[in-house]
Amino acid sequence: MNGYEYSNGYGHDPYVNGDPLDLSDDGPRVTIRTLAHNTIDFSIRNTSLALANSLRRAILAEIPTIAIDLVTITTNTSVLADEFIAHRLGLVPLSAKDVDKLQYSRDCDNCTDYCENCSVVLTLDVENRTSDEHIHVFAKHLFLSSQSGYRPHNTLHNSATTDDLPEMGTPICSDEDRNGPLICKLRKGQALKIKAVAKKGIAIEHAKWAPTAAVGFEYDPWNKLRHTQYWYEVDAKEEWPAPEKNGQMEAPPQEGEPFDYNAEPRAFYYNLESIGTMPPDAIFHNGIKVLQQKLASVMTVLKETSDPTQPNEFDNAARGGQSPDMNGMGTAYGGQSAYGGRSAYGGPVGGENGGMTPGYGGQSAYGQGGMTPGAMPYGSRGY
Amino acid sequence: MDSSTPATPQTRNPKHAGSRANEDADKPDATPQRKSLSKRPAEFQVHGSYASRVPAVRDPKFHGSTESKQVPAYNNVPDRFELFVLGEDEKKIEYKAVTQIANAAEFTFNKEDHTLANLLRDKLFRMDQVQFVGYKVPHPLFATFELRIQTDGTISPKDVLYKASEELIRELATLDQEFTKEFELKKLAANVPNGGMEI
Repeated sequence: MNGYEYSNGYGHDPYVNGDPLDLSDDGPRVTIRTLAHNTIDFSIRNTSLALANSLRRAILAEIPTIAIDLVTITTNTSVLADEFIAHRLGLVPLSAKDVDKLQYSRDCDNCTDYCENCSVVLTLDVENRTSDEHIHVFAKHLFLSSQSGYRPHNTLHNSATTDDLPEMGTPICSDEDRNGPLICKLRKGQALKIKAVAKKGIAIEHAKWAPTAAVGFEYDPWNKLRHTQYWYEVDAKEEWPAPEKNGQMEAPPQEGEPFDYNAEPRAFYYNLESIGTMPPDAIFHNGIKVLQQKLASVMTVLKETSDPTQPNEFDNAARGGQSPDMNGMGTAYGGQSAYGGRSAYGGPVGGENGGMTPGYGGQSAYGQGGMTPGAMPYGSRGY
Repeated sequence: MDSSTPATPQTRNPKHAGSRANEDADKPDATPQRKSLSKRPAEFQVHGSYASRVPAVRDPKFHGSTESKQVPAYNNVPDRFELFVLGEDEKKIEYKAVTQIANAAEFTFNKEDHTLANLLRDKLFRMDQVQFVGYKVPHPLFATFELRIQTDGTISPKDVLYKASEELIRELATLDQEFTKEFELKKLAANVPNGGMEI
């Protein structure tokens, strides 16, 4: 199957893995190549490069996770400075189970600083009283204060699929010995006692909030689109290795094949690796959700700024006799949008008018004829 | 009076205008009271004079913070969260109709970046009713982009942007479903022992 569209109208080969009868018109298709407990190797077909890239960017930078953000140090007699240890604590991966139910600290109405609704408190209390050997302080020594020192044993992830993440805020210890990252070493007589507050955040603000270890991304492995030009000494084909993995998914170029200048990138190969704070499929779903939320907020703002009580001043003045701009759709376009106040992922966009719109997919009842300015189909809209 | 302040460091009690007035109540001096040196912003401190050696703003980095959240005047590093949190009086999208051309408008998105911009631009580009679409990030230090849309008149730029967003949400939902389908399929296959799964 080719990874790019033919411009001569042949179309691409039918999707090999899926049920051929299942093929609806357009729309993206996904093939998962490998599934491991922290990695998913998959490809997306039938979308645009822009969407594939935006998804990659959202996955890398904008998925909410939880990480230590505030450290109060009671005792630190180790050789590392306070802020050094605080920095390391921030980087300890914490389980992001149900983190979407957690408030952002800056948005939390319940408190001024932090509280149960917007944070998780962890404590660490290690002292090397008697041992001549250095005590290694690991992430496993961090305990949620709600659990008062007890933490159920982290179960081994046997499958990529089971979401058996520990409680939100529990440090993720994925090494063999279940120790977690090393924080500090203590000689005899040294101690480390801290209280750490973990908060919700995204990787844009600090990399500690990133749920991914890496997102491999590639398209057009055979460079048939000529998006790049290989540097060479004598012969590029001999000097550069052939694309092994993704190259098998697409047909290599024939010898005398003419360059297809109308082709566009159509298949994108991802290798998503999670840190362990959330399973890789959850990362993917959250990435999509983030993009949908951005778009939904665009729609909400656009809707809000077209005031139905006034003739829409933004539209072309020539269409002045039009009905007031309801939902941005009362234009000559005919109001035939499928917009029924619902967004594709569930609840009504903007949380308003959800139950009152004239029906999803139908023509809006007010978009057809003119309507007297000032009439408000939803009754009172002010609230 | 103030120019000959004693050698003791200035106290940091914030003096209200009221209390200051009381001090001068019994001194009908014509000289206007010079603004206390400690009240001047850090960059206007007079150096060299003993009275002004103690800076008005105590940098929490060096002196410890005794007040909450007072930002020193000379720190110009913006907070990272300013890349995605709207400022006060900042709107998510600002609209400006382009006067010279019909059916053209420029939208300024605040606290957004290429993730959203390129996605919208590409979607709009593929719509027939759109004659021109382009975006730019005016400066890399500020999280803002401007999206310019021109349509053929059958639909307004606002409406076409709305429509594009809507269709994108739908496409993403389809992608989500497809991924879930494929994932569940692979999960079943993986539950077979040694079903080709890596750990």
